[in-house]
Amino acid sequence: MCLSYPVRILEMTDGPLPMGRINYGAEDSWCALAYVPEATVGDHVIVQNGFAIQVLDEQSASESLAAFAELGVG
Amino acid sequence: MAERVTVGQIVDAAPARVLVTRDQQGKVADARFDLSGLPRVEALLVGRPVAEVPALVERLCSICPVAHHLAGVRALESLYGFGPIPESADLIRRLLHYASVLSIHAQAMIWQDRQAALTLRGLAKAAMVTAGSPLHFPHTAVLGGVHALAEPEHRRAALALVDEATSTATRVAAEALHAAQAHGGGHGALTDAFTGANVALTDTSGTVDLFGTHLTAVSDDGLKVIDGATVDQWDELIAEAHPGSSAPRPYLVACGSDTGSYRVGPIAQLRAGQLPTPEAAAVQDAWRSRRTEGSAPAARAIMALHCVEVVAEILQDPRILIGTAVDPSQGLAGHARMTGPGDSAVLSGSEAHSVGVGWVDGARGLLVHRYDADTAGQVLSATILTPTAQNERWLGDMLQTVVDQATPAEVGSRVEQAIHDADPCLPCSSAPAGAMNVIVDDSVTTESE
Repeated sequence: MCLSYPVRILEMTDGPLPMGRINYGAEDSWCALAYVPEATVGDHVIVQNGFAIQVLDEQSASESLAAFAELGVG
Repeated sequence: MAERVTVGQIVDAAPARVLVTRDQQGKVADARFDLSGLPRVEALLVGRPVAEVPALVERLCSICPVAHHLAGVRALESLYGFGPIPESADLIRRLLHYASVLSIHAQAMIWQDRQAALTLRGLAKAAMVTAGSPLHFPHTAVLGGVHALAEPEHRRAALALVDEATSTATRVAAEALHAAQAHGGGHGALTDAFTGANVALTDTSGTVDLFGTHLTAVSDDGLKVIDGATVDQWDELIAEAHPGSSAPRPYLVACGSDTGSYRVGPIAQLRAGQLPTPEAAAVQDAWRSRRTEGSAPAARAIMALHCVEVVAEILQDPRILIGTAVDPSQGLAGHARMTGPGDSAVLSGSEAHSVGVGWVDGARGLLVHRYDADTAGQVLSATILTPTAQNERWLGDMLQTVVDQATPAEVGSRVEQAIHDADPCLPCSSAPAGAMNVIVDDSVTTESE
C-alpha cells in the first residue's frame, strides 16, 4: 500500500513550473506544484516523485501526522 | 517485526525500477516492476481495535482516502453483520465515491488539459462537500449509514457546476478517443496483449457500478469467469500467491495461480460490463467499435465522463436531502457496540473470530479491505489488497514485451508508457511524460539451465 507523509511548503517560486521548498527530516528539498495550483506557503502537501499531488487542510495534515507518529514513523 | 519505515522513504522514495531477467541465450525471460519499496502495513494493524483500522489506513495512504474510508467501513459492516443501509445513506456514500474517482481522474489530465482538469476537480470537490466530507479525509460514512444527509446549499453549489463539467468531460472523452484512434491502435497494442481477465464491480444485473455489491470477471475473449459474486464469497474468488509480499500476485481462484491473472482499473471496468449512463455508454460503444480498447488514457477519460454523469444524477435526486441517514435499528446501536469495550456478542460469526470484507472500485481499480478480528474486536490479521498489487502482473507482462521488442532508443519512453497505462499508485505515476526516471535493471539475474 502506498504511504504518503504530509510536508509543509516553506517557500514558493513563480514561473511556468512553480516550485515549493519543503522540509522533512534534517534537510530541505524542492517539489513541483503544477498539480496543486491552489497551494500556498504554509500548506501541507503530499509529495510523490518530486511533485506535490494533494493539498491537505490543517486538520487532515495533523491527523495524518498523528497516524504516522502512532506507528513510530516521523 | 515489520520493517521500520522512515519519513525519507515516504517523501522521497527510491526511483522506479524495472527488473529484467534473461535466459542464457539473452532472451528476455521475465520483466517486472519492482514493488519491494512498497511497504505492506497490515502487520502494524494486528492487535489494534478493528474499528480504528479504516481511519488509520486512510491517514497513512492519503492518496485515495475516500476509497479506503468506504472499503473499510464496508468491511466493518460485514464483520459486524450489518444489513443494507438506508437508500439515502447509500446515495450519499455513492456520491462521495464517484466524486472522489472523478477527482483522481481529473488530476491525471492536468498536463494535457489544465482547464478541464480544474473544472472537473471543482465539481468533484463540491460534490464531496455535499456528501459531508469538506476536508481531505472523509467523515461521511458511519456504521449503518452516513453521518448526515446533504445540506441544500451545498447541493445547489455543486449543481451549478454540473453543466460545464458535463460538457468538459464529454469533450475530453471524445478527444481521448480520437487520439487513441489516430494512433491506429498502436497505443493500445501493449495493453491489448494482456491475456488475463478484467475484474470490476457491478450491480446485481452486471452493469458497471464502481460502488457495486457484486464482482464480475470477464476473460480476454469476453467470457464471464465470475458472474456477479458477492463480497461474502471473497475468499473463494481471489487469493494471493505470495501472501504478505509487496507483490502478492493475486489470482482468480477458479483459474488457478498460473492462469488466473487479472487486471483492474478503467480498462477492466469498461471491459467487464456496460456503463449505465448515456453519454459515457455511447463513448464506451465507440471505444469498443473503433478498436481503441487498449487505450488507457481514453478509458480514464470515459470513466471520468461516467463519474460526472453519476454525480449529476445523484445531486438531482431529492433523497440525498430527505430520508434516513442511519438505520436506528442497527446503525447507532452498532456504533456503540463497535466503540464499546470488548463485547463478545457483537461479532457476526459464532466462532472465536470473525471475518469482514469490504470493497470499492476506485480510479485505479478494485480496493479490498479484509479484517479478521477476535471477539474482543482486536485485529488478528488484515489484508489491504490494492489496485497496484493486482495490476503488477499485467504491468510485468507489458514491461516484458517492451524490453523484448523495443529498440534501445525506445525502451525508456515505452517503459514509461506501460507504467502510465497500468498507473500504479506509486511516486513515478505522478510524473509527466519524460520525467519518470525509471531505471531498467537489465543485469539482475541470468536464468540457469
